[in-house]
Amino acid sequence: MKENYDIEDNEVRVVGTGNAPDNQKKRITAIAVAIILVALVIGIVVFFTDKTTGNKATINDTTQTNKISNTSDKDQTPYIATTDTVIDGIELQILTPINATAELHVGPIDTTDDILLATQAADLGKGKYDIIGAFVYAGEPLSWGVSKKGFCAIINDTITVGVAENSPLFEQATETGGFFFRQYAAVNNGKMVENNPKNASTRRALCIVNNKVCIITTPNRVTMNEFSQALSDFGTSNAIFLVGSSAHGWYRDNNNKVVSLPNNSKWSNNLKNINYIVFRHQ
Amino acid sequence: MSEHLIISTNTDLMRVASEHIVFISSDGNYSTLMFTSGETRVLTFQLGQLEHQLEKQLTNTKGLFIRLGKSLIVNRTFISYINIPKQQLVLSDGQTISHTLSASREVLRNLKILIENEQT
Repeated sequence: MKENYDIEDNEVRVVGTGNAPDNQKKRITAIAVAIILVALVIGIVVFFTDKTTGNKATINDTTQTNKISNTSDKDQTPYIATTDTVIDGIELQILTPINATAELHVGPIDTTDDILLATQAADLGKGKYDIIGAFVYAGEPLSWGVSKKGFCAIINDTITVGVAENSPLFEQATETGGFFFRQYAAVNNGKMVENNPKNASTRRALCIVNNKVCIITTPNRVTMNEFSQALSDFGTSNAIFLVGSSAHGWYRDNNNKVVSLPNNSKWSNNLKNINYIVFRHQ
Repeated sequence: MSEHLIISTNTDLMRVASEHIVFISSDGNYSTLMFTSGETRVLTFQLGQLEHQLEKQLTNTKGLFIRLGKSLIVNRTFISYINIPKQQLVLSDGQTISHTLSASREVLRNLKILIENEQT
């Protein structure tokens, strides 16, 4: 279905009495013209494109799905596997939850729980600190909107990271007791996604690398685009940003000791809408 | 006999009696239906698309719903109080249902005029 019924901000009209604007003919004409223009553009592009290079990947509305269990040995005690590397001059710390269960958490959190890894997920707005973008917690929608095109859905032990303006996974999460949040897209189908904010800061991202879900952080102050490029060059297939800078986050090492993520700060942990993606013991 | 609104997607179908819808609110590409039972349902449809379906499917109850600006469709049965300075619109059945919504002063002014004109 297409949006047929435009309306002004302050307009009031009775539905079904024929006073909605009847733009059917105009619409059909506009669609026909648009189709012709698109066909022309495609024709021109195809004509002038070197077919041997064939880089035709589009970045819209694609997702990548992963089971959270990152190992075949299901008897193994859950833990966080850590790896450090340097890509494009940027230090990356890769945290891969093994045999853990992912979910979102809303509200203050402490480190005494059986949480293996927790890091802030969706951004909060200034002022009232409301959650920005669509957000579903255990089937309950807490926030709506598509302020950012990247998304993460956790439904029935399957985590999906992708880019889409209108994902049915939001609705599915509400119906299945699942989780959903939006963030800036970082990598889509292996290609970096450009973002407007240009400031440098410490960054975190939820990534899929070699079909495994992981959190990648950097202690370096880098721009979003520099971080996205590094993630892409590292081999990330899909990734979205998580709250960076001084966001609250930690993981447990092999000795069950709590280790803070780079630039960790607890100042926001008292906010009502503070939210985290957490990986727990199954 | 009541009319039913049917919203169908590739994977599911929602069927609800029109009089059981109190209001529909929108946030971009999502719309939330509030039912008389107090339950809500989120749909990945824009408000204009739902307005189109209401108009197309509810042929016997035309005029039951009123579109208020870009983000609200309300069931006129439940409109019980409008306060323009406070930007308040109360939808209630006088018994168990009561929802206080916020809308712009201009929208509420236009709604007030619409209802007054229909009364005369």
